[in-house]
Amino acid sequence: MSRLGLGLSLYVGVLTIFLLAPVAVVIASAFTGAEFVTFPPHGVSLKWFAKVLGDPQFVVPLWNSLRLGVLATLLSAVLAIPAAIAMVRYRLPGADLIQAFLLSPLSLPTIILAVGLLFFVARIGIGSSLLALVVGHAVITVPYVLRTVLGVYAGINREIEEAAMVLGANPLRAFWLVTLPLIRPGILAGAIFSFLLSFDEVPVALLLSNTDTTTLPVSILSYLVYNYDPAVAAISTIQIAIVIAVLLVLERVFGVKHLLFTSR
Amino acid sequence: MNERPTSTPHLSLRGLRKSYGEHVAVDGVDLDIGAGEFVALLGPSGCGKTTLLRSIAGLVSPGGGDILIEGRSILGVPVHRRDLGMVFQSYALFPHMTVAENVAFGLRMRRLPRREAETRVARALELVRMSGLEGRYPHQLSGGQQQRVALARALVTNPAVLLLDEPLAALDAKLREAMQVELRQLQRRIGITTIFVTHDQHEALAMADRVAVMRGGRVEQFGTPTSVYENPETPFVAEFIGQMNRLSGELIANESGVAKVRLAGRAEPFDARSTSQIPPGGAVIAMMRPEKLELAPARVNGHALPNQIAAKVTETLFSGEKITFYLDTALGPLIATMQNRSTEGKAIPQVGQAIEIGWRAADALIFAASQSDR
Repeated sequence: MSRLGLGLSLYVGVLTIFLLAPVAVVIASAFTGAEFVTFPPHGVSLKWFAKVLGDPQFVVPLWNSLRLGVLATLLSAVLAIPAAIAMVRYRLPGADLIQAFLLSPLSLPTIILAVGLLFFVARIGIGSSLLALVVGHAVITVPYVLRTVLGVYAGINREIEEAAMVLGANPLRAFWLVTLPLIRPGILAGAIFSFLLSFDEVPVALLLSNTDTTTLPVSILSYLVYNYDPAVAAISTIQIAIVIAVLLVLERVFGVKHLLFTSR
Repeated sequence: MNERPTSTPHLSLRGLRKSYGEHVAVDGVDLDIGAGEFVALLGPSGCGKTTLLRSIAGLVSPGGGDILIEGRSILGVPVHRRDLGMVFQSYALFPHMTVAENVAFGLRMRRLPRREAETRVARALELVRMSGLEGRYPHQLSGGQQQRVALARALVTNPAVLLLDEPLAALDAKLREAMQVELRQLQRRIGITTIFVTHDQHEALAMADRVAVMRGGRVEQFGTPTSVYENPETPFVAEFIGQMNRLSGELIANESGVAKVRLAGRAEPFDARSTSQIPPGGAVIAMMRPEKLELAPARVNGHALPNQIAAKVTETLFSGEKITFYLDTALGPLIATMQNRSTEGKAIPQVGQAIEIGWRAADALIFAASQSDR
């Protein structure tokens, strides 16, 4: 690797500051001792963390969001993995159309999707339940899992699966012992995208959640309507910490950097 | 059509067919393969040889016909219960498993006790001279090593038949030759019935007990390497295997074991190997292999060579073990080759030199002209 030139280094530096500055402001303000958001913060205190972690209006949505993120990710994996396999391995009539259809939520503004979903879930009678939220988020996250699994699976030599079958593996065992381990990078990358998307998604959650299922971003939003104290910064910092923790753990276990940036 | 080395065929194909939409990949193939026999399916790409092999493996379901092993149809048996060994062109090793895990996979599927599986994996790796590399992953191996692991993995379950899909195609020339010998010795030692798909005629001739030459989904000829090379039954087989000089003419007579052929543009007929299949007066194609043409200096007294004609050397090509001469003759351009032996005073013809060439009647094959259009 060659060294970056001066101009490019400067550019990268400015870009990094531009991306990280808002996050730095939020995290710094969370540790303030003052009663309102200031930057730079006045004094250092953990009192806002104590406040939000003892406040059900933040803690309950936090758990809701975590649960929703996991469920929506599981559902989109269950939908997207077989779809990707079917599209790559079998010459389905209209495979291109099916793929375009499954990826289409990407090109739709989420607020439009949310409005549509609102009517739809009311009509089929699941109203504003957790199920409705999970389904709503899965619609958004399926394309991401599908894309990453498709990318990895399409690059896998078909003969490897055939070799497993010739060696005596029935289709289920061939999938479990050979296909699944080979596409795991794609599944994990897709699952990470999916979880993170669901974890900070607002429009669908805003329209489909009720008081019991409110998600963290929605509760932060509604808190902000009436208040502007550092509690929001504290809960946001916790949210950022969770995201970073998820990435770090996955990085440790599976090498996420590798998954996200080198697999297609 | 062919000579059979054993009494009951181990593997039989009966009128096997497979089409993809309009395209007929395999068009009614019948083959009987004896136990322990090494058979090469040889043909240009798209001739159906790989589809045939994949049908036997169960990876392709044929549209018609039958596949029998020891007289029993295996068409209804799914891939994973056919109990065959297969080496793929890409080797298809499991990249997430070590060498030992790769080889043990088939035994694991058969739920063999761990102890026994370990012994058999060790033995299989020893067989392909890969002992000591059990813990490596496929990406840490060279192409030749991967090939050996793939072979060990295919053999460890003691399959009924070994299927090889161009397993040597990805190796470089030297290694390939070494593996040809090694693979053949291994196959003989184990005595496993083997079907080997290749587009390389040298490989097929060198390795197989019998060669099935395929074209357009059909078997054109099935016989020993010698018979396929020396007695090709169709112009396609003649020209696909080895090199051929090709001349057009007319069959005048077929008498006492010798055919008389008059070539276009030449009054005097020449002798060729007789055939009962073409009536006199029919248009024929005569073919002679370059190494069967004899070369002599010009102005030999009388007719020293059979079927002698004058030729002029237009180009020579030296390729080490032999020399190829491009000749201009009254019959048109011809190719002749000469072994690069110590010449013992016989001069090697040079470019521009006038020489005489000739061939024995038995070395000129004739086919009906209509046969070659198919």
